[in-house]
Amino acid sequence: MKMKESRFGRTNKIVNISGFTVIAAAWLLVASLNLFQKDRPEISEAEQRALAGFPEVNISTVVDGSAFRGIDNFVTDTFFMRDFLVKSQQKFSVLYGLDLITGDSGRIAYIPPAATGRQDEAGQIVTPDASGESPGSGGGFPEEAVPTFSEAGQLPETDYLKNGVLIYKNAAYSMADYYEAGARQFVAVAEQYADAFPHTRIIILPAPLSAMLLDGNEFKGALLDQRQSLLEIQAMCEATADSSTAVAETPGDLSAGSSPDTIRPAIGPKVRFVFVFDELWAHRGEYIYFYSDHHWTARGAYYAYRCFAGAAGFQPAGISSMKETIIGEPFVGGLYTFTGDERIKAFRDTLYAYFPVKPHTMKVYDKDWNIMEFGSSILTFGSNYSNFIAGDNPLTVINVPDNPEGLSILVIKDSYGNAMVPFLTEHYNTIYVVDPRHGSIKLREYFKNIPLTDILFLNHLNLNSTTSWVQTLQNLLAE
Amino acid sequence: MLFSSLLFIYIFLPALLICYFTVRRNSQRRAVLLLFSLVFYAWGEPVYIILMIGLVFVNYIFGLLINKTESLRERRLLLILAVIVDLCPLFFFKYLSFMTGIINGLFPVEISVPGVALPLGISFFTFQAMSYIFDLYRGTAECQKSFARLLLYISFFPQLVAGPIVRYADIEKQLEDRKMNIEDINEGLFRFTAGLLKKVLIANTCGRAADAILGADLNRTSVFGSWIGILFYAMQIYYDFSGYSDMAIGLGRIFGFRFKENFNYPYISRNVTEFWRRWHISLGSFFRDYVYIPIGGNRRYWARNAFIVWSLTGLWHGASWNFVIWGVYYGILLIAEKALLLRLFARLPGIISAVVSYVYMAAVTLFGWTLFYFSDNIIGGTGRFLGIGVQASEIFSIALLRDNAVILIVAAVFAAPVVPALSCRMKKILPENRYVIASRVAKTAFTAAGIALGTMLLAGSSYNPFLYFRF
Repeated sequence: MKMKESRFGRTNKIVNISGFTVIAAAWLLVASLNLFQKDRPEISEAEQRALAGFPEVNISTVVDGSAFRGIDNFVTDTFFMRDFLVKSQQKFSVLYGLDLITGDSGRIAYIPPAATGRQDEAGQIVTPDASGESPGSGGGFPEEAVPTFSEAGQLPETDYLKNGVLIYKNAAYSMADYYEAGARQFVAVAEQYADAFPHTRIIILPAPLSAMLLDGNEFKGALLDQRQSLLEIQAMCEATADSSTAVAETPGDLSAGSSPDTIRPAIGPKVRFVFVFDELWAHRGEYIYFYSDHHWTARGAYYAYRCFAGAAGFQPAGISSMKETIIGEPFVGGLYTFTGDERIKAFRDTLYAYFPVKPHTMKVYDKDWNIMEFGSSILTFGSNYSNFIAGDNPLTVINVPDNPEGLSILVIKDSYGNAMVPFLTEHYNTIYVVDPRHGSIKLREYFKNIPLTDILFLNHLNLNSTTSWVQTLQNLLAE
Repeated sequence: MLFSSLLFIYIFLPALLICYFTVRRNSQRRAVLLLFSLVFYAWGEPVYIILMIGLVFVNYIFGLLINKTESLRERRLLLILAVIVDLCPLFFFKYLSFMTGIINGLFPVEISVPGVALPLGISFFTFQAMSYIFDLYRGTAECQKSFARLLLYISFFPQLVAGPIVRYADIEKQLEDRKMNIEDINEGLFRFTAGLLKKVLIANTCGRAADAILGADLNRTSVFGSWIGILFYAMQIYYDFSGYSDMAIGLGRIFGFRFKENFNYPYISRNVTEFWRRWHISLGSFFRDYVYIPIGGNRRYWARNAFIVWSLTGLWHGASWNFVIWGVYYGILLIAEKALLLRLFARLPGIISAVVSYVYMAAVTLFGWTLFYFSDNIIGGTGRFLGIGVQASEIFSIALLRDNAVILIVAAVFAAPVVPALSCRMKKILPENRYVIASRVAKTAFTAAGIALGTMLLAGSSYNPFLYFRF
């Protein structure tokens, strides 16, 4: 018996030691590979975003804790084989739902890539209209991608929700969110900008999300009413203090005439608002949002630009005057990586670009403040949303010599701004673009001796009531 | 720093383990644990670490004074002083704003207080500090002469920021010396992994689903959606908190500490009394032993005593009316059970009693969580559950339920003691030796697979808040 126990004890010990050795070895191996990996990635191709860099560590960042949070983000973002792990996670998350049990329950038809066309309210595939700026001739669906309803086959009604993404029929949609209290904070911070830059017009342009296209069908009432939310923000802006004294030297007026020559001192609210919903809604049959990406297309951004230009006192340039180009091959956008949903792979997108008429140059500052120079604000290599102004960067400066000197704009944006900024080259001599997610810049200091005509907050609607975003905007104003 | 972060798992913990097992002497190992614990806290609260150390120092001094004092009256005075001093920072950071809000509402005054962030884990380490003083006063623990050891007791990283509330008397001897072997380390790793998966696989998934429904515009959520949302939330909060406790217990075990269990399958309870014996056990026993019994317990005014304790329990969870209401809600239920309900249930025939009990518990627990969730709009939030002004159902909740149904089922299954039951069954089937070996092999395989899965889930997950950090 004693011998038996002893043998068991030995076996037990061996099993324990072996188990621990295996786990510890694998653990330490991964930890070492992660710690000592060379060339940590800076960009995530899968997510189309810049990965967190190693934060600045000094007394101030240590005391406020941002250095530690930054290191945490850095380790997570640049973890060994992260892209592989992220993709695996997305595949794994399919197991969370009933599809695991039911298989493909026939809730969705996999639409062939060529057969993607948005349906209108009557369930018809939208086709190009006859006008010069219709999607067919002006940049909508590829010719071969406009099937009739019968050609596309049976498109069953479907609904799907994951990570704020809805799949409906043959496209994925980003859903919007809005909180009044957050929006009030946003407008309040915009007012602080008006105080900090007293000779500059402060303009807010929230971009609706693609779920706006679902208004008017079965989702009405269930989705956030983006139009109503935008109107609420507009009312908040209109209620800001009268700027007549504050901007006595303002070179522009949002309600002024149609060219920069007519710009005159402003009387109006401190913070101005550009309402783009109705314009986009009027063109909802066109290719204004990607099917597989959360952004608007260049065409969608163009309609927003048209609203902006009209409100800012410029004559908007016609889209037909710009050279329409399809860049690269059809691509699958970010909503696939956000959700990991294989169905989104079927919703291929095409990158249309409209090249500005006026020659210009673009300097892009990366997070280490290295400069890259380009001959255009639209890149022609690659094929995704990053082609517009070379993607998201801490600071981008575009110079357009043909426009009057002194006419300048600072665009503080998220990625929705990227597709719209090239259109601004029609009017401004200098365009500064700041993406506060990718680097910190002290605006008061940077623009101390640089006069700004306009500051434009251009981001998607959700950010207009996102506290962390509002805080980020406020941080840019720090002395 | 979060346990469920790649930084903790692949940098902090390996570094700590290497340092800890490189040194041999107990005093050196304690020094390693203390150093890493302070780094762990400073990582989240680089400034308030001074507050935490200061609080420990004050309690260290009070401990020495109480130990030296013979007179019962003076000891009691010192105890009261120590408790007041301990509660001051908690009151300032957590309750001052809430209290001034009440005063401003009641009286024609405009008192304003600066908005300050709540130091990480202040509710937990304050209670641990008080536990030392209480145990010393009651004579259930010896005075700690070493400041470093007292600091290690309170700042020990596994339980520092989100519990369980480890009482000094339970850990006193382990601070001096601990016996540990390879089985402890393996068992600790297994427990840590189980907690990690509870957190990153179940709690985070349920949390996303709950927020998608409950965090949406009140007017756009249906009655069905509200109930589904709160069901997800009930799972989130259980797996989040019990997962954290598992990780804490597992980490403690790796270093030779044995912490008491903090959860014991609360969702299988048949009444509220049982639920609170199974849910956040360390908090419940803290209030029972240090508040309820000293103010009279069951001996006199038990209903009043219970009401006081449950109001405090609610308030401990947060400085907001919804938490107070939540605490009082459970206080009233417990009083009602003790006075009447439990006897009523007992009189029912077996199967009917079981069905009625479980339905009753499901209803009161889920409704309790609605009170807990809606800190800003408790009336609007709970109103949705009763169908006030909202539609019966909508497609989003149905889709959300469909897309997370498997996780919800897994969560429901493992909220019951399935694993212990299976283990017990295996124990009966297999000879003891084989059972031990098979169990170890299975646990090792689970640990390896669990860490790999946890790593995968953490790599792409930006949603990672521990709910209990805010308390």
